[in-house]
Formats: sequence, structure tokens, C-alpha cells
Amino acid sequence: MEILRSTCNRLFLLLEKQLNLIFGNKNNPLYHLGSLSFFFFWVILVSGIYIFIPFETSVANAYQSVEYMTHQQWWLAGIMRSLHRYASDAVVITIFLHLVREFARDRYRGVRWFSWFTGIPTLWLVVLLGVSGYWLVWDMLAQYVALGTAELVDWLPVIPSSMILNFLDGQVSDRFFTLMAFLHLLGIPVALVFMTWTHVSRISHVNIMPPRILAIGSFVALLLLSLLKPAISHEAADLTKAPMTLHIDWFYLNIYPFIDRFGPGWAWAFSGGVTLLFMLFPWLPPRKDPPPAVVVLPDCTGCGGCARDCPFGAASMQPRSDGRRNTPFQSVIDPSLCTACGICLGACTTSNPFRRTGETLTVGIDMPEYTLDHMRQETDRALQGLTGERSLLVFGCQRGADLEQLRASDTAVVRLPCAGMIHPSFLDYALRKGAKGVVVTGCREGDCYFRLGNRLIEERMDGTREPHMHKRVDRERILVVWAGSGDEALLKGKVAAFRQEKLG
Amino acid sequence: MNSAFRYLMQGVFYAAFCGVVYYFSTSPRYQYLDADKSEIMVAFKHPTKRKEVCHERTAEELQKLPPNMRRPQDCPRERADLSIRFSLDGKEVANKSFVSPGIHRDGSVFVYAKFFIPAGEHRFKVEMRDSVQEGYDFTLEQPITFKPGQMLLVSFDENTDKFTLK
Repeated sequence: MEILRSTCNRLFLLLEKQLNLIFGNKNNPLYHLGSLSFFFFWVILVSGIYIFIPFETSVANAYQSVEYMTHQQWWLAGIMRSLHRYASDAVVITIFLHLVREFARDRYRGVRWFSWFTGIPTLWLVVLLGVSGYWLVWDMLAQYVALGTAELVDWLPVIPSSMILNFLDGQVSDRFFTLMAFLHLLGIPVALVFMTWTHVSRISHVNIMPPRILAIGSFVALLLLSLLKPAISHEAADLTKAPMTLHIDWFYLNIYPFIDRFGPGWAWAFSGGVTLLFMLFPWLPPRKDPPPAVVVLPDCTGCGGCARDCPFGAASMQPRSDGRRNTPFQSVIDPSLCTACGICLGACTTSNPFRRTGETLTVGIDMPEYTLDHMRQETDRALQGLTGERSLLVFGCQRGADLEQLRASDTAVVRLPCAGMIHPSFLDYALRKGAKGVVVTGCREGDCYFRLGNRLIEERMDGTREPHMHKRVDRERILVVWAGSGDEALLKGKVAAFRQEKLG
Repeated sequence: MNSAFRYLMQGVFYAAFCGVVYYFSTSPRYQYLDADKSEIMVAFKHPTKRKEVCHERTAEELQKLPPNMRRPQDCPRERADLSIRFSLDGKEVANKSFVSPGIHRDGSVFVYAKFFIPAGEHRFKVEMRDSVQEGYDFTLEQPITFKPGQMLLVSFDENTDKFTLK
């Protein structure tokens, strides 16, 4: 599993690097696969609402109404139909890549199991939604899908009636067809909205819209595809004829040729087995996360910084339990949500290293495995070993570029669980304690392992997010480089240039 | 990388993405049925005959039963398996057996089968056994001209106890 994961990760890192050059980090499509999926759903929804207007929900007229849209009103309904189709296909790609990428980045185990676990049934709902949509065209492909679905359902011993008997009269009843339309138009979408909400319910700052430029680019691309290659139907369904050559949508209908070849029993076994295997991924093998953050109540001022910045909603503000006056709230950590990233520590107003030497630092919220006191000790140790006129202290995330290559007599490194753990006063501290310059580095921009780390520290430094960096700090002596695994040369180059240009 | 080249490469990326979307939304083509073949689909529900016939209980048997269960007849619920065989020009092309569903094996059998045959004129024969007796209880044999791509639906009418072809 580890070999597979690291191979996938290397491939993604390589691909993302190229796309960063083309799109820039902020608009890299691979950094926005989840929000792109949401965007495609919006396209599906809007186009779906439009094509429902001329659509006839009856066996006799459904095909003709779709043909009318495709050929007579091709300039609007036809384009909408094609957009509906191609956005549905695009969403399968983005969801699949999203799934593989989260696996590659190892962001699906430990306390992050929930999003993965709920994502798998969400994907199935998307597939069901797509399959039920193909049914509504009521062409030969729809007939093939309908009979295949009936075969699949009838195989289940728990279903009392036999679905395929609906087709034996030579035609499907309007009632049955309306049931399928109901499932596609309302039943499955409602279930999908609920599952999607569940999927993202354990993270905060959910981003459901991709950057505008990416949304526009994707939409224009799908629109052009709809104009150049409009979606068309097969011939009308006819239950006295067997479908012969089919232009199958492999994104959604791949199970049907499988049924033809191996039978419905194996189709259930295969899809059920793969689903179960994927759902069990977070425990194959399980990962032991570091201990969660702990609230040190006597030091907690109830400022709410941790609850505001926590990317996983693990910190929340609740009425104070120690009766302290003037601070009605205290932070409370939900250990089942805490990834031990330390971002709350960086957001805490009491994470100040400027205190008496020798005094053990206490803070309102702390990380048992990497305490604030330990962080200051590490910083002090690193600063003590620094020599040279242009000495640098590097605060770097453990998940980003390999920092060992930077170590030298004039360059010290302090490794952190996440760059978002840095309280801005630490940068001030390092500069005042002797470092000529400070480097902050971590995962590539837009690709923080803990979702928001690099964005949060940048905003703190820019003064747009609390806790702010003190105005007296010389910003020119601080370099921020976002460099992921494999970007060591880039990091080294930027650090060398910074030393040359700013500290020379 | 200058901006013009970046925009060009973005265009290439979107084109490649749309290419993948379009290709797999329609291709590769799937040949469900060859041009010179026809399909036979069989689907119907049928309650098979009981394995054992009802018999009148003797006074001695009735006496052994609790008072509320003393029905004069004893009718075992279990139904026979169903066998169905298809032949084309005297040659067997498919043969399937079904067990009556339910805890007591007394439910109606759902018969489902599909198979492909060469198009053209054939002598089609379907035989079904729904009892524990030897041989087949129902038979239909008739010449049929199967057109390429035709789907023949085979059913069984419970009212007339006859096979129907559509």
C-alpha cells in the first residue's frame, strides 16, 4: 500500500508542478478538484432545470422531446443537453482524481477517515444519478440500461417483484417511467446533497467554488465541446429489437458490459467488493495520529482564534467552566477531529515566545507532542549554532521540501508539523535573537497537507488575520517559499537569492 | 514562461480534458449484439406445482394435533423446481433450472434467461417442467424467422397455461 501511495504521490507532484507553471498555484485544477466537482454540479443543475422544461415525462413522448431539443432547438436546449451530459462526465473525472489524490497524499486515515468513508457512497450516488439520467432519453441505450438495471436488481433475493416484467408487454408503463424520472430529478439529487454535506461536515472553511478563472475556463471548454460535438441519442427504444452497436458512456455505464459478460451476481460481487475495499482503506493499515491539542484553561483567554482557524472544526468556543470573569468562553477540543497540525497554536494570542529565559512557556492551547516551549527551545538551539554574517533560520513544515539540504553553519532549521503553527511573533523572536533573516517554508501554495496552513501564516504576516505580525518587524528580512516534496532545488535557489539580495 | 505561452498551454490542457470527456462519453463502441444475431429473452413468474398432493388426515392423525390445528387436509407447501429448455432446429441452445423461493420453497419462480441466436429461419422449441413428474409439462414448437437484431420475448400465460411469443 505504501509503495502504491508513494508512487501515486510522486506522479501527482510531477503533474502538479507542470500545471503550476501553466495555471499558477492559485488556479491549479488539481488543487481544486473538490470545488471543481461542486462547480460541475451547478452546471448540471442549471442545465438540467432548463432541459426539464421541454422534456416530456412519458414513455411515448420522452424520446421525441429530447430529439426536439437536440435538433430543432439545438441552439439552446441542445447546448444545455450537451452541457448537462459533458458536465456529468467531467464530474466523474474530477471526483475520481480527487479520490486518488487524497489517497496519494495520505489524507484519508487517522481522524480524517470520515471524509473518505462518506465519499465512497457519495460517488455511488453520482453514478446512480447518471445512470437514471440515461434512462430518461428512452432510446436504445436507455433500453439497454433499463434491461441491464432490471437484471441487476432482479438478481437480489430481497426484491419481491421482478423489475424486468415491466418490459415484457412490449412497452414500459408511464408510471414506471415517471418513477425513474422522479429518482433522477428529485430522489437521488436530494440524497446526493445530504451525502455531500455529510462528506464535508467534518472540515471547516469548505471551499465549494473554484477560482473564478478556473470556473470560467472549465465552463467555456465544456460549452465549446457542446457546440462542436453535441450530445445525440441512439434510435428510439423498441422492445421488439435488441440494441446492437452502442455508444456507451463509459464514465457511468461501464457496469453493463460487465453484466453481459459475467452476469449480475459477479457484477454485484465486484462492485460491492471494490466499494467495501475502498471504504476500508483508512484502516489498511490504520494510522496512529499524534495526540490532539489540549486546552490549558488558566492560559486560555477565550479569544476564539483556534476555533476560527482550525481547518477541521476540532476547536470550538464554549461557556467557560472555571468561572473566570471577563472571559465568558473557553476553547474546547474535539479529539476525534483534531489532526494535531498545530494551526491552533499559531492562532492563539498567548503563543508568545518573548518571555523570561528559563521559564517554561505555557499557552492557552498546546500540542502535547510539539509544545510551544519545545518550539522555543528548538528555535533557541538553532540560533545558538548559527554563525556567519548572513545567517538564516528556516521554519519549515515536515511535509514540504526536504530541509536537511539547507542545513549549514549559517543556516539552521526548525521543523514543524505545519507552517500554520507559526505564531508571527516567532519570526520577530528569531530576528531579534540574532538571525539575519528568516525563511518560512512548507507545502506548495494551495496544497497544504492540513488544508490552510500556508494561507493562514501568510495572512498573519500580512496583517489581514489575527494574530498580526508586529509592525516593527522588518518584512524584507523574511522570505516565504512554498516548496513541496521534490522542490528542494527551487527552495535552495530562492534561499540563496534571498541571502544575496536582501541580506548582502 | 511568458503569459501568451501559458494561455496557450491552458488551452491545450482544457482541450485535452474535453477530449477525454468526449471520447469516453461515447467510445469505444460496444457491440452488444452482432449484426447477424437475434436475441431471445425469457421472463415470467410462475408458481410450480406442489411436490406432494394434499391428503385427508385420518382421525388418529387429527387427534395427535392441537385442537386449533385440526384441519381435515394436510397440504405440504413445498413446490417443485422449474426446468426450462430451449431448442433451435432440434438442437438444445439453453437449459435452465430454478428453485422455488421462500423459506418453505413455496413462492412463485421468477424465470429469467437471455441468449443470442443466429438470425434466419429456425424451428424454435421451448419446453417447461413445473412438477416432480418426468418429462416436460408444457411445450411450444413453431417455425420462426428471426430478423437480425430482433428481440423475441418469451412469456407464459397463467390463464391459458401456454407460452406466448412477442
